[in-house]
Amino acid sequence: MKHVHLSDKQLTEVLTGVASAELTTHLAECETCRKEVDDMNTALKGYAVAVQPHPADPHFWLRQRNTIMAAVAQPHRRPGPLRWAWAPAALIICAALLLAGNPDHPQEGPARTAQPQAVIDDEALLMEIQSDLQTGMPDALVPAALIANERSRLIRARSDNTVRNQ
Amino acid sequence: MEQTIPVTLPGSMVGAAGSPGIRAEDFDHIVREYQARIYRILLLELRDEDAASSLTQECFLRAYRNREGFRGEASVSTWLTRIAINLARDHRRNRRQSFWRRLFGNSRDEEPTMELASAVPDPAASPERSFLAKEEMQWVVRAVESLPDQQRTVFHLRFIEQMSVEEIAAAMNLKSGTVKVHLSRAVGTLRRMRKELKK
Repeated sequence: MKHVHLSDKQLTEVLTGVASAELTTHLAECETCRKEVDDMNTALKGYAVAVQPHPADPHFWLRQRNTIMAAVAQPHRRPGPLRWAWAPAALIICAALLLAGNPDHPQEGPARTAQPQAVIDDEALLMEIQSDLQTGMPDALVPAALIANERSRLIRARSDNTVRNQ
Repeated sequence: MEQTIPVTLPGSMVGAAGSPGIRAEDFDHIVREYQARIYRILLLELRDEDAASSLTQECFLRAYRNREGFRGEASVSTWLTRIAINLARDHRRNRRQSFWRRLFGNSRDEEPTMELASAVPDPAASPERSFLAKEEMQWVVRAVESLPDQQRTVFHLRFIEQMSVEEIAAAMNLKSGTVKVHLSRAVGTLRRMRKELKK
């Protein structure tokens, strides 16, 4: 292994502190790999320092902690067991709307409610016709009715005279 | 606010044995302890200070609301990291979706870029040393920027947050083997860029 340098996996093991004894031995003997490990360690440490956040606001952490604790103190409304109670009601309304708009039942509801009024109208019309027939006289039959009435009156007068003479 | 961040929560802060969950009265301590770490993770993920700040708040809010569900199987740190990474992923997805709606340019170009804290390793260093250090860092920054999202996240969690492979796997819902592959590829990319720089 003396002339074979570290693979990516082996270098990772060394950098993360889980190098095997074999790798440690190799590093002790191979200056190239040792230099590479040292350079990588230096770079990683520098990067770790460089990426530390340095907020411009000196009270950033205190402010943030206060914001968090204020949010935590707010009562949190958990959705209760009745959170889906509206669903059956919505289903019923939807079903009713669907049935109302179903072409198999065209305007069944409104027709049923209008039916009693229609019956009343028909009966009133029939009663009116019957009443007209009983009490009224078509214009064309008025002269005939006058003749018939006059004749009836004459017959009644004749029969009255006959009775008186006897 | 930089401090040594304990990987696990002190036992007194987790509910008594047999009663999982985190006590509400301990949450302030958790925020103090982990807010810098969560903010840093989100800042490295998103490279957007405003988004990192608001998602840090959202991360702790979610943690608080789900504190009773914390079973202690992973450390609080890993648990919070997982929430933060999920939030960052959703944020990136939304950002990309809005990008595609606009139908302009390249999605990477569209993402905000972070000022790397001026890349000054030592605040007390002279301007010359600071400049040199910044120049030294540029190839690392470029290499990390070129990594795919998941590789970059794994790289940051390992080399910045010093998380173990198992903790990264738990935080990212990946297998340990997958985490190792991502790490190896990320290191390979850095290695190649360093070699190109040396030529």
